[in-house]
Amino acid sequence: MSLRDRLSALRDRFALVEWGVALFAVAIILKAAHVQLLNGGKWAALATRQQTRLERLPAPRGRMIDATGMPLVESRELVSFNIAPKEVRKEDRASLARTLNRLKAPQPYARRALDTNRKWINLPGRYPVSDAGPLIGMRGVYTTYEMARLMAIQSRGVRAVVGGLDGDRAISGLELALDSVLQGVTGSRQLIKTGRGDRLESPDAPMIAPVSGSELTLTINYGVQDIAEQALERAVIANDADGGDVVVLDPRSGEIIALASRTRGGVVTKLTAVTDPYEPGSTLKPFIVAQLLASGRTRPDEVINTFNGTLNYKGIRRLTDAHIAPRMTVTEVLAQSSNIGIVTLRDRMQNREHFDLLRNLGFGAYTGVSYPGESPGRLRPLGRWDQFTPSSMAMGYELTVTPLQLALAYGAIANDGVLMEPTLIREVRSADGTVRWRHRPRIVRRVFSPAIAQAMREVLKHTITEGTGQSASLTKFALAGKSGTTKLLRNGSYNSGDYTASFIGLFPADAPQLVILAKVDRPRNGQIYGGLVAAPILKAIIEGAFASTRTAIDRRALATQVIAPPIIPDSIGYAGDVAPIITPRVAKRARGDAADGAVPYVMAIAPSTKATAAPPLSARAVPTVAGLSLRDALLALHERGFRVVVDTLAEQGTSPVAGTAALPGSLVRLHRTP
Amino acid sequence: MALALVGFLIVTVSVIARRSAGRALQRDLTTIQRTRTQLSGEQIKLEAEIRSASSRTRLAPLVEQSLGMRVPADTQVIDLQVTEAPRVTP
Repeated sequence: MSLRDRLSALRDRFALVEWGVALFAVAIILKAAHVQLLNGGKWAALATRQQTRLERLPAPRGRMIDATGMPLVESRELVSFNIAPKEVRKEDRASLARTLNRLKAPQPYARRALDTNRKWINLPGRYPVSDAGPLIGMRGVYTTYEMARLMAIQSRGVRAVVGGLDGDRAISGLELALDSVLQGVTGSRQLIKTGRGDRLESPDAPMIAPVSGSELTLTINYGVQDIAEQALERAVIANDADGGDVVVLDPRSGEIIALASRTRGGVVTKLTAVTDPYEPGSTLKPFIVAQLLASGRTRPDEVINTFNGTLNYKGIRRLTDAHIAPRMTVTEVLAQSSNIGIVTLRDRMQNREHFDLLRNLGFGAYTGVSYPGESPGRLRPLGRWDQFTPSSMAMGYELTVTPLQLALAYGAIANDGVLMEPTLIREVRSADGTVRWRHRPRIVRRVFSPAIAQAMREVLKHTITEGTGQSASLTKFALAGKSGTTKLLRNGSYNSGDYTASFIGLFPADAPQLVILAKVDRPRNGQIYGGLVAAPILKAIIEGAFASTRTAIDRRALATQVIAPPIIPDSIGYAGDVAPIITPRVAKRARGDAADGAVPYVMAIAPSTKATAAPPLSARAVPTVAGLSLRDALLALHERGFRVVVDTLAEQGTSPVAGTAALPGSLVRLHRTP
Repeated sequence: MALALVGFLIVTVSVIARRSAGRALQRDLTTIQRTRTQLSGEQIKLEAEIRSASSRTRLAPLVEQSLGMRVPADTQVIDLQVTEAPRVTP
């Protein structure tokens, strides 16, 4: 073969290789086009699934705070773990073991989590993020964040008001009633997996931040609530009772200031003051008198024959009185809680009028309070009344009412005859601080004229001064009230020897700021009368509230109601929440007067141009201080009336955050960067 | 050709360096966010404990038993009407 032929053959071979390379390139291009253009979406999705993960960011439910801004319940982030023991680095195992031990994780699971022969462990339980810190971000440990509710205060009553959750599902209380308001909007973020197995937030897909639920400001005043619960607990224990209820409300606005319920074992699963009706007994008697006074069919000083405490009433039933007297005035009928007197007065009324009176007072109907499971009580329709019903109802039997209903009805006497709708919610604010809803007092109806309401308050003062409620009496202020001692119906009989002792008071009597109802179920320690068992609860609540600055008492208005000068105490007093304010002059005077050197508990009333008609404190928003100098931020907060403490944190801002409603005088923490 | 190769290398190295720095920053940010969440949780827990410890329910039995104190009667509480102090202008 000549050289030319050999070159020609070589060229052919090169051409063949070139064609081969070209075909290969074309094949690659075709395959690339197939992968990228035809199946691009499928492969991209597969890659995204392998390399990224969409993480759900749970939104905190809205906080609930009391009327003074104190947190009652708030959301807290918890974390649960799945562990892949094989993936955990050798150097992390000791830390994993220590942290699981500190978290008190179940031992078998903790052991399995360290066993490298295992592939996957679902660790039971949810743990506070603050305690589980070392596990978060550890390779081989997969975290899931969840929100959990945390009671910010220890109070059985508040817990019952607030209610509870089962996982994410609201099951009781305000959590259930206002679930849609409290729920936040869940957020999300895209995580990408790095070559080393770490997960980082994707820079391409911005995080959708979770939005917190709305914040509820309750009408509950934790100071009064705390006092009421303690007073009720002591009474239940002292009287060996089955339980009891306390309702404290502001008759002028219908705001419920405290709601306490207690059972024998101390377990409170619901607010029996709202959900469980009872026969109110003698506490219903004043309404008969009020109705008759309104129509001029009696007077407070009218004398009624009370038959020395025993009466065979119309031949159908035998009526007896605990206080035996041949006759009593109408005022004394209520003060001594005479059954004979009230049934005699009731006979001046038609059944329809009696029924309408009870209906107008709100009995047998829902009050409208936003609490699930509220009972309307039972008021028998007029057509089903029998010959016993009128006299029974006059004495508070044959109908059932909830403690809340009864407190509201007395609220009408306190509020110049106007029945108010109750509320547990004062305000709803969205996460950004915008007010979504604010409670405006709502009048249900006028039940009595102001003159009749005032006359009734005068009449009911006598229950405290000379009647059945003397153990609730105060020295410095007049109180109006009524006791009730109801026989309990057991197995169809009222003779079981079981009673409900109750007492309702208006404080102070002439311009009531509080209506307080106390009820004790089945006291078994000797005393059964409402005036002896329940009335002291009232006194304890008023004294506790009066000695505390955290409670909802308008002291300036109260100053005009004083009927007796203060006396020097025989021992040192405390308020439980605040230190006494002792001025040198007062302390000197007290030391001079008191033999044992004790000092009085002195409260300061803020200066006012009008000593008798001070405006009530209203909550205001914490101002935004972002970008302000320390001096300007302090000025802005002080101008709003807040007390300020400056602390050093990595992030500037305030606690509570800007926009949160807080009362003047509340403490605001101003965070400054170091 | 050599210049193109150098250019390619520079671009590649700068892209990798930028991505590495970004990831390091992201890692730091994640750590800080975790710390913040942990501290917030700790703060809520501690505040709840403080409130519980300073509640009347907790304190009342202690001051009554240990110090012999009691809630003052209504007559033992003296309300002082505080007159407004004159403003001091700096």
